[in-house]
This record gives sequence, structure tokens and C-alpha cells, in this order.
Amino acid sequence: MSVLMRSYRFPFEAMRQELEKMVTDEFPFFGWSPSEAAYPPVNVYEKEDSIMLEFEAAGMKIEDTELTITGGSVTLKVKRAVEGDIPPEKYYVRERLRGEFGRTVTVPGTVDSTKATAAYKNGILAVRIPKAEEARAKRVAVNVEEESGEQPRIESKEGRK
Amino acid sequence: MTQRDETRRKEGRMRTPIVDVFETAEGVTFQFELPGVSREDIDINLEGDSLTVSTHAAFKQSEHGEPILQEFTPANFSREFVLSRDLDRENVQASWHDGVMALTVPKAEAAKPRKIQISAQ
Repeated sequence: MSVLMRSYRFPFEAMRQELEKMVTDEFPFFGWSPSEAAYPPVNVYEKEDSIMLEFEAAGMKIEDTELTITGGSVTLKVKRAVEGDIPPEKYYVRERLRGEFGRTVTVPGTVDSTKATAAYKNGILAVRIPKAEEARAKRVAVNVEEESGEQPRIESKEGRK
Repeated sequence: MTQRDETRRKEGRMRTPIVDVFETAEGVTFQFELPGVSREDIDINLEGDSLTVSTHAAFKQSEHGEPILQEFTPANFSREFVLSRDLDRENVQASWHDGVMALTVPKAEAAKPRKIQISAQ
């Protein structure tokens, strides 16, 4: 029974796998090829008082996930389940990743890993790690002494935020 | 796919979701990975033979701070499939869980395997 008439990448799963092994170049019609990129992709954001990491991992099971923070390294290990009963020949399209994946991201500065929090929502794992007290940028008021004379007046400026 | 969608895809504002499609005895199941999109922002559109899954989430400029590493750009998804006439489009079931949307389209009664009795002569 032909269910799909177009919109799939390759007609046969085995052929797709073979081709994927052979072709190391980026697939021109698929922006992000799962087998080439590190999984899961991560975005890191920095704020004044914290570091935020977002892992894009749809369909992840919390019980199959391990998140560890050691010093300034954040490691995420994900085991992605395979639908056991379904033989490969029953697939028309089979793009979702299977197997075990891991990412280690080094975050800048000194963080307080004991106060890290993580939440998983809509397939995005968000990890917030507060910066260690001493690593936070401090506001320093700079006093510039005024001198009478020909020197230009210097406005006092605050330190970096 | 409309011209507008094509333009958005090229500009990186529209992504092609990763999918699995497999057949079971009852029908065909589609699994769409739609990370970062909530359930309310998913549109499932069946028009004739065409099944289109797209999203319309409003992604704000990140409030998490200054990006220092960016491996993915949150963007909406769109993908179209053409369904066989052997599928029963009236009874599509959809479920959503942790960024994965599953659609099951049952086989039409006429397309299900049947046992034919041989009448004795």
C-alpha cells in the first residue's frame, strides 16, 4: 500500500541509511542533518547573575536523561528510545534519532552548580546555573578628582555592568 | 507549500521538522518533532490528499540574556505529506507530548486485509 506519494526523502529506509553512510556532505534539502550534528543542539545565554543553557531535545524521557554539572562543565546524556515492535521495513520515513547521545558544554566564568535548576518543557531542556558570588561583575563607582586648570573635566563613570 | 513558506524556509524562519512515518495493522502513524512549540501553536491541516503540519508560535527575542553559543534558532515548522486514498482521513487522531506530535490515520475499511471464505462446491 502506497501511503506516501511524495515529501519523503528516500523511498527505502535501507537505502537511506546506506546513502547516509556514504554521503558526508550536508544534505542540501535538509538544513540540519541529524547524523552529522552533535545532539542535542544547545544554546547558551549569559546574564549578569546566571548562565542559561537550552537543549533542544524533543520527546526526551526524563528517566533516560542524566544531567551533571562539574565545575564549569555541563554534561547532558540522553538515551533515545526506539519503538521496539516496529520493523524497519514498516517505516516510510525514519529520521528521528535513536541511541545514546551526550553533550558537554563548558560555561564561562565560575558558576555555583549547587544552585542549578533544570526544567523540561515543550521538548526544550532549560538549565539555569547562577554565577558564583565572586564571578559576578561588581559595580564600582569611580571617583575622578577634579583639578582646577586647563585639564578637561572628566565625567565619572560606573564600572561595567 | 506556498511561495511565502518557501521564502521563510530559505531565510531560516521556517524549519522542516524531523519525522518518522510508519505503518501498523490499523493505519499509518506520523511522529513530528516540534521542539519549542506548545500544543496550541500546532496546526494540522487536511485538504484533499494533502496533510500539512505547521506551527505558528511567536518566538520572542530571548529574555535569557546575551547569547554566547547558538546551535539552533527557534523557528516555526512546516511539512506536507500526501496521503494515500486507502487512508481514512475522517478519523485522524493526534496526540502531543514533550515536543513530539503523533498523528494516526487509520486505514480505510476497504484497504484492511480481509480473509475470504472459499465456498464449497
